[in-house]
Amino acid sequence: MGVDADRRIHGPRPYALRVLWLYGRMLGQHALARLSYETDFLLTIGASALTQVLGLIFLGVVFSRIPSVRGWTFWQAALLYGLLLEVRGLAAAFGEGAWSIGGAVARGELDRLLLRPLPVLVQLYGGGLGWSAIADLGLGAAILAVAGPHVAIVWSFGTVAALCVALPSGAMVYWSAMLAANSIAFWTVGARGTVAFLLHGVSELAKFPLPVYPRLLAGVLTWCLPFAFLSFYPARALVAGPDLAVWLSPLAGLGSLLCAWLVWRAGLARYEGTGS
Amino acid sequence: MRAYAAIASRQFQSALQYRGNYALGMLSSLALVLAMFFFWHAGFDGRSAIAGYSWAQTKTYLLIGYLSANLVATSSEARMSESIRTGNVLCDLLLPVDFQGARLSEALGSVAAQGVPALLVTLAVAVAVAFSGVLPPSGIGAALGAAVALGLGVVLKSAIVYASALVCFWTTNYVGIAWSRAALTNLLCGALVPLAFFPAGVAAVLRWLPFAGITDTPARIYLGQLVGVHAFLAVCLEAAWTVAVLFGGRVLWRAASAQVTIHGG
Amino acid sequence: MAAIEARALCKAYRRPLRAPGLSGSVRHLLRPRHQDIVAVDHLDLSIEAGEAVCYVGPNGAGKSTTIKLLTGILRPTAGTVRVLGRDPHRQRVANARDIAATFGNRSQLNWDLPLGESLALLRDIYAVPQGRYRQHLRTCADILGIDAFLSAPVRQLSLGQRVRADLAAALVHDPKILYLDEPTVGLDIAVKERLRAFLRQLHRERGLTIPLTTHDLADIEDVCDRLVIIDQARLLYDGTLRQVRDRFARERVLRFVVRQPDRADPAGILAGCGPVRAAWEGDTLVVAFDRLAVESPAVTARVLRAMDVVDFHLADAGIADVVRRVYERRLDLAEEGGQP
Repeated sequence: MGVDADRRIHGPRPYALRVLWLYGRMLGQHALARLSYETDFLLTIGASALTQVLGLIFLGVVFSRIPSVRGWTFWQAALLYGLLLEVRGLAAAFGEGAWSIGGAVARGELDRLLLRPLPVLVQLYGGGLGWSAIADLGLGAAILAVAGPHVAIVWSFGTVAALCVALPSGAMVYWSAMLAANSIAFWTVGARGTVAFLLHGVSELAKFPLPVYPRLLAGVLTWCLPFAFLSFYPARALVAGPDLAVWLSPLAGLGSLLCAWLVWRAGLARYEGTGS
Repeated sequence: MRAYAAIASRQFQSALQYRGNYALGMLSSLALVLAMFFFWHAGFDGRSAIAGYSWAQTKTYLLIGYLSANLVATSSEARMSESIRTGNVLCDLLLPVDFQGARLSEALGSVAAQGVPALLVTLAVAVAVAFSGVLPPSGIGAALGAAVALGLGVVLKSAIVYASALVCFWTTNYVGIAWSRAALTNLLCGALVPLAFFPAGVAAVLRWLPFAGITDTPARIYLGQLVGVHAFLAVCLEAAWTVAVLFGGRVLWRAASAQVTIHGG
Repeated sequence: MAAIEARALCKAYRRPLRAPGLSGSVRHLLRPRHQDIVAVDHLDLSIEAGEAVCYVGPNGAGKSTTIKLLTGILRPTAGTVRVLGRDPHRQRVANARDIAATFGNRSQLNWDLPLGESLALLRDIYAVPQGRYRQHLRTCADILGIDAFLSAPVRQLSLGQRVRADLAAALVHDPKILYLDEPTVGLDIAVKERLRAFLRQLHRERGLTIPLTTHDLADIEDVCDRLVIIDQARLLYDGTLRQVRDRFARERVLRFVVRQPDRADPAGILAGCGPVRAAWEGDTLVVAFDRLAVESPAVTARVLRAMDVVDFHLADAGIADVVRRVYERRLDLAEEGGQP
């Protein structure tokens, strides 16, 4: 066998850049693999679209009986719903990997990831995109476009800046919640995503404006499980102009991220301790 | 029959083993019910009735909706998707039992493990809110009728869940299927909003659909809104739908089982 | 310094205890009980670069756990591991660049992707130069025949194809150490042979260090030069294959088929050969002896002189017998290992 002298190495060299490039490369590969299963792909998007349309119908039915709740009209609530879809969609698009933690632990697939010279989380999240997010993002945009003109939005430089800060922060909150919740699988192998379903269920509370809830619950949704940052604070910024809460949303996002990271690290350490 | 009892018992045990699971599943749907509770609480501010329902009636209706939602194991999609993915479905096919029968036995086994605690929690919640006025059944007949309708609703919903779980033969994304199935049944059966709150024409149509049997029929019998012949006819419709959905599941299964491919050689 | 060095390596973990049946489930629900399990107990092991070491022991003896400790997947409870001078757990990423591992019938490859795509991704993860990658593909095509299924998604491969694919994937980055956990389990004879030939070549030509666990004794004799036997988390024996044969597999059996046997006591004929055991089985004289203490030609010469021998056959106790005796707990290593 002759020696092949081609010494070319694909991709950038600096480590951080290389990890990012590899992440993108994995996602690209999976996208191609996934698109070859057309039925699956369409069913995924269709199912998600159905879920969200039903959610909207629900909102319509509810508001058809009461014109406003605690000062929020149907169109304002629709705006809030649209923002929730955008924020959750953004987080779900890049958060699909979290859902594979349970299976990877149960089937011992984590071993394979631990043998590779790449951070395990990068490999997990590189394992696929959340395609259902396409439906969420599309529908969310449509709702915002329709509801927008019905709501007197306070447009200013401040509002735009607030949205630019608040939406990624909200996505970070949801993304982190899903990572932390799915990491529970390290402790109860059988649970698989149950806690994540629970937290997703709690995030449904963000479909309604915060003042609907008792003070205690509203406090929890701001300080403990800051799902109010998914939709309520950004929506309030649009309706009533930016306030302190929306400017503080990066704190909620980064705080959630830190907590999720700690849970994940503890879980991984446990896995390395027991092997299951 | 003994085989099905064994399958149900096995599922009961494994449901018990993952004890945290069903408690969390219950809490998850509790979050949504809670959201509805507070929303309507705010909505009733300054109103005595919405669509003919008083606040007490709405509360009671939602509680029954929560109970009916949790009496049924909804992890079938996850289980079936997993067994299709790993190829274990082939082992299920080798067993000398009917596939649908086996899955329904599993569902009932889970109901025993999952529904009993759900019942206890519901009772606890009921006692807790009793002081704020959850209504008792409107009579002994109403209580019995509601129990029958609720029990039938368990079978009906299990059959619906089974049919939707079969979609896993065409997709790996059981989470999406489970969520949209839950969104569909919960909205159309009345677990989130009493069907009476829909526009009158829509509500009338929804009551003819299979989903109404899960929550709306038992709740209205309980509240005394459906009595006598009307209650009897509603339960008959529910029974008819149960049979129809079970049959539909068999047809779908025939199409789905043709999808089973054997991985590797 | 040794490529792999383990000192007093220990691994213990807890396992939930649940009685079978319904009442067991309920009881565990109310009061969970656990059992402490020692998977690896004070293991001392040193493997030089370029050695092929076979790790043998009954199921549950702690083989896989040891491999996972050596690869850095698991954290030791106590003791130290050094692989190429590093702590494989603490310096997991650096260690990962130099090693590879395959685990039995669990694939390391992505289920949904075509094999070629998976290999190309590994090339990029390990930053393997394009030329070396192409050369690797050629080698794997020549010896493992992977070119026949490069474009098929891994989920559609047969077990034999998948094991070969796994091996090709493990070697993309030209590791210094290749851990194999039951590499030939479930394979047909032809694939096994192909795989062993490849492993032999890697070991002899590239000087790859190969620690492998197996239940298949042919793997041991074909690929390895050293045998480590463990049972119940403890190391029972560690030595070269030759040493194993000379210590525990010394019995040689000669069978002579005789025309018109007189079935007389053969002790007279064999006197002077040394300690032998001889007996008749039908028309066959069976002579068993220690092959280091008694010379086979001497035995054969005497029998041939005294009888009309039609045919004869020689059988040695092999590694298989030794390992079987270990599994059945019939081998007393201390006693039999006493003399060289």
